[in-house]
Amino acid sequence: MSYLAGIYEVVVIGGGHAGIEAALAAARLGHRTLMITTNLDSVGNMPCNPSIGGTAKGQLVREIDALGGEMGRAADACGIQFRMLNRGKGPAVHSPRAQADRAAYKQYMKEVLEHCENLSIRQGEAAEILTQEGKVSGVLCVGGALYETRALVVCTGTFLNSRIFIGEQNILSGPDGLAAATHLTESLEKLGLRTRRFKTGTPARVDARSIDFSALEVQRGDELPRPFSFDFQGQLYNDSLCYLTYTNSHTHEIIRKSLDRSPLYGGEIQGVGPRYCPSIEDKIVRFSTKERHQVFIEPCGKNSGEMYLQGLSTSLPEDVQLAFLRTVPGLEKVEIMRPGYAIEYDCLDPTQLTAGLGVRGVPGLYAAGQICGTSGYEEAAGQGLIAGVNAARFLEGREEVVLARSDGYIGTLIDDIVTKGTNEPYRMMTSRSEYRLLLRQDNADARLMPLGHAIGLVSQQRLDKMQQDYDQAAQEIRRLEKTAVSGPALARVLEERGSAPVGQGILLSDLLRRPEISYDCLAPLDPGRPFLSEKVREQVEIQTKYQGYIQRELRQVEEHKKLEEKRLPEDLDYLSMSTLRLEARQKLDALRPRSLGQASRISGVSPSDMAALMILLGQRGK
Amino acid sequence: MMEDTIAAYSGGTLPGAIGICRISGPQAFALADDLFFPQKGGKMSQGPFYTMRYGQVWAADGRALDLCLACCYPGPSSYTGEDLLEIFCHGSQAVVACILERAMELGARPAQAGEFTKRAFLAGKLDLTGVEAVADLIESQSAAAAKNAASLLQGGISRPIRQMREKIFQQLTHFYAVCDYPDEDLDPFVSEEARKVLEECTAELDKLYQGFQRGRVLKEGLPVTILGRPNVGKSSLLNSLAGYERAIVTDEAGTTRDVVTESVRCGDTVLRLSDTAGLRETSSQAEKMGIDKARESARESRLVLCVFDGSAPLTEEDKQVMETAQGLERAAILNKWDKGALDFPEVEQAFSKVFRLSAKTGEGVSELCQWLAGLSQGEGETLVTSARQAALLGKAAESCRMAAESAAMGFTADAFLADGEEAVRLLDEVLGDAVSEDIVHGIFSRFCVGK
Repeated sequence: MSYLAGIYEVVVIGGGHAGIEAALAAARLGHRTLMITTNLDSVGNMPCNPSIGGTAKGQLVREIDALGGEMGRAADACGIQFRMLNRGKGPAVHSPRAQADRAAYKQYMKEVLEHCENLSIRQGEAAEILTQEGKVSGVLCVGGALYETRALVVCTGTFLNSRIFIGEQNILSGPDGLAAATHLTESLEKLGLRTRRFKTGTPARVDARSIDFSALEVQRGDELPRPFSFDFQGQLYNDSLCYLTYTNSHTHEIIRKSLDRSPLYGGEIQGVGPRYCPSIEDKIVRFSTKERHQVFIEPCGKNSGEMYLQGLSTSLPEDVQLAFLRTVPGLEKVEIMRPGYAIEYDCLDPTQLTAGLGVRGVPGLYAAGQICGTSGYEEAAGQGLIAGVNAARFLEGREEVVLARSDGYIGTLIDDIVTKGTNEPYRMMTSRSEYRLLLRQDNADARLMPLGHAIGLVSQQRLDKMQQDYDQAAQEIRRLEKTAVSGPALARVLEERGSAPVGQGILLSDLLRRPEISYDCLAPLDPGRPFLSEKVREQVEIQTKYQGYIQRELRQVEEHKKLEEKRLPEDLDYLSMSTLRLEARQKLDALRPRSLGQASRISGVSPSDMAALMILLGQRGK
Repeated sequence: MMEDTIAAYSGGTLPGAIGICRISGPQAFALADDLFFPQKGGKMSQGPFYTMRYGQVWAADGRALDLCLACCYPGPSSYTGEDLLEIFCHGSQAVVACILERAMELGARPAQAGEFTKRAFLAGKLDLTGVEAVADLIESQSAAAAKNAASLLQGGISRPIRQMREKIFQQLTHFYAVCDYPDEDLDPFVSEEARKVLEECTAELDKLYQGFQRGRVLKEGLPVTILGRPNVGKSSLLNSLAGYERAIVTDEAGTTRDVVTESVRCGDTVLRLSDTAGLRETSSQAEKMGIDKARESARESRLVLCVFDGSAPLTEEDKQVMETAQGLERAAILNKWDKGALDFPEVEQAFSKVFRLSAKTGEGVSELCQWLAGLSQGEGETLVTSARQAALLGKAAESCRMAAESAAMGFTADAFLADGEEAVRLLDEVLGDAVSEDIVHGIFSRFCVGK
């Protein structure tokens, strides 16, 4: 029997990384918000790797933080080992990552949610999305609770009809033994949405006491750990250790012999798995000549006895898992605490979404996270933030916020999935962005904090503080461009650095453009330099050194901007545009791109289709 | 925001009565002044505008490429909304190709399919034209461009380009695989190796670009060398061919006094015929040099016409001629057919194509001419886009050079590979690949990465 359990402005289904950001954003923007989750002890759970950030993902976290999201602060508070990846490979690919304490992270997030004004959290399983005249009107839960709402954000992660596979065994279950959500897919399909089945997997967690660490290579955090969040003050906990070991021919032999017992190769799993995240059995089949595979052993928490085995994701039977693990150096006597598994789940074809993550054709309905065909906590959180903001703006009758590809990795990610779709769980990678030298982790604040402020998630004070740093950097760059140095002191520095000597005076900025010269090493030549924080010095150095490349990318952004800013009317009748090829007409009709720029990225829309479309639009405007 | 200046052929199918070369962008008028020289009045950029002006299109060396009409349309009152130059030239592929090539030398970039329309649209100018017509034209242009790209790149040019593209691409995927999967056990990315690859590619692309320039059928037409021992009638063959149809460019001395070159038109095809010194054993130093030149000319030609005296048995020197032409694209001419026809089994065996004719009387020359015209039909079709492709190749070489230089200076790979990516993009455009493999896919197919 259903009963009216509450009236909210925004309801968020799901308490994972997407749901958290969506709910916080909507509530912080002043809207009465409800988060429904199947298990209140599992908000912010990390069912896979116990870490936040990583290549391209670290950039995402920095962007979420700049926009006023929570993930960066949580990672700083619950991180137990911090590293900047790809140091020495150039600023475009520097990415922060932290091992996180899973339990602490969940606790932190639950507290933030519980203390957030305008936000309520309830345990329950959403069963049906209610609509009136095609618009969202509420959500009905399995127990009969009915919540009225005009805006709904679906962040169901991997829980929809999820099925877990371990060898011959497969059960209806969400990750980490949590219950699957078995009703909502049907409701989504009733609304006319196309769903599909994706798959992912995770390795075993093992007992730390059963590992022989003496045999393993240790990996520590950075000496000078950097926080994710602009707001962080104080000291990061950075003492936890990770370990490195390798598989060998015995491991591979055992796996190879047991392939017939793998649900992946036996054909039980129908879902599409990610290429970038293959299970160990996948790796051994696909890269059969590789003699060993790397395994990182990572702690699941500061005081946790569970260790995560990065690199050994598997859905082989438990006995096989144990047998092959015990061939790995350091794991000879290992005890499994939770076996690895593959998980299959329902998700949406993301091309049914707008660039603001609204579901086309159902006003008030939004989706974010793995239900949109992505994978990863950070990808989910970035989408959650945008979907939450846009649900709020929907209520306010305002236009949705859309991040351009040139604004950040979040914009790139959303544009990719809603424009091109994805045939496998989508993971963010630096190679997916064409503006890598602009979209750096170090300048995320400058790129996105003004937008966060305009949206209403970033305070004026925070914005001003950020702006101060960048103003200082700009001023210092100008000073370097005007200050020339010469003489024996210069010659000494150049010689020390193995840099080519200069005949006469040279501008400090020109010196700094030399790859072998750092800002700090110019200090002896530059008595007039102001005192600057490390953050500002870093900006001065990167912006000066990579100026040529940065400017070129800025020019490319400008060039594309014109097309990105040419909005396409929503009511365009593409199907009747006889000068476009049929495929292009159908694709445009289905995807309803927001701008000419987005239209040009749809596969199946050729340059001549674009030209014809532009001609038609030109005429329409008259 | 400064856009670049783009150039492309914008008329109907060639050959035709009139061809239209369109050049649009901020540099269009500056370019007009270096390209088109009105017979009366001031420079193109000074006006009068929207007015057809009669004058000459000049090549870099001041040679006239065509005598025709041109018109400047200052933005925003132009089709594209930018400064626009249109040259209404003779509708020959060679002429159009030369004009476009010159425009690109002067800094224009080959326009992409639909780019004029895109600019027109962005400037809000598109109501001027019939929709169907323009869209059809663009469709046919891109189809023709694709066909041209394919046809031009046959004959072994595409292979080295594809190989280079692959080499640079491998460096890109390697770098991003290592960056996107820092925890994977991948071979480390070595900037020094990338630099070497980029340098090799720069050198090779330079070579190809120059070769492209040389071997290209633009100003010169299809290079054809006439070989033969002295007094078999090489010069009369040249004159006969030249006289058969009007020579479109006047006689022009070769770089040495021993090779005489003339442009000759057979049907729609332009041939650049080189008459060489007769091949024979000689002790004269000057004559030896002439013979060397003849051999070199033969090697650089698309086709060698070996001329024999059809009224006399083969000599040792004739056999030497056959040997020189070995391995080259070639045809045999048995001249002096009017003086009596002997059988030449050796020639019939060595040459798949043999013509019997009399250069003197003109008998049989028309058959040869027809064959030559048909032979180079394919070449003719590639003329229009070859300037575009040469320009792209040149730009790709430049991108590679910049990448290699930045790498040598010690820049990090995230920066210098940006130029590497640009080079790959340009090479893809040269190859006319509709869908090229992206880096993400490249990573997954090459590297073992995972969680």
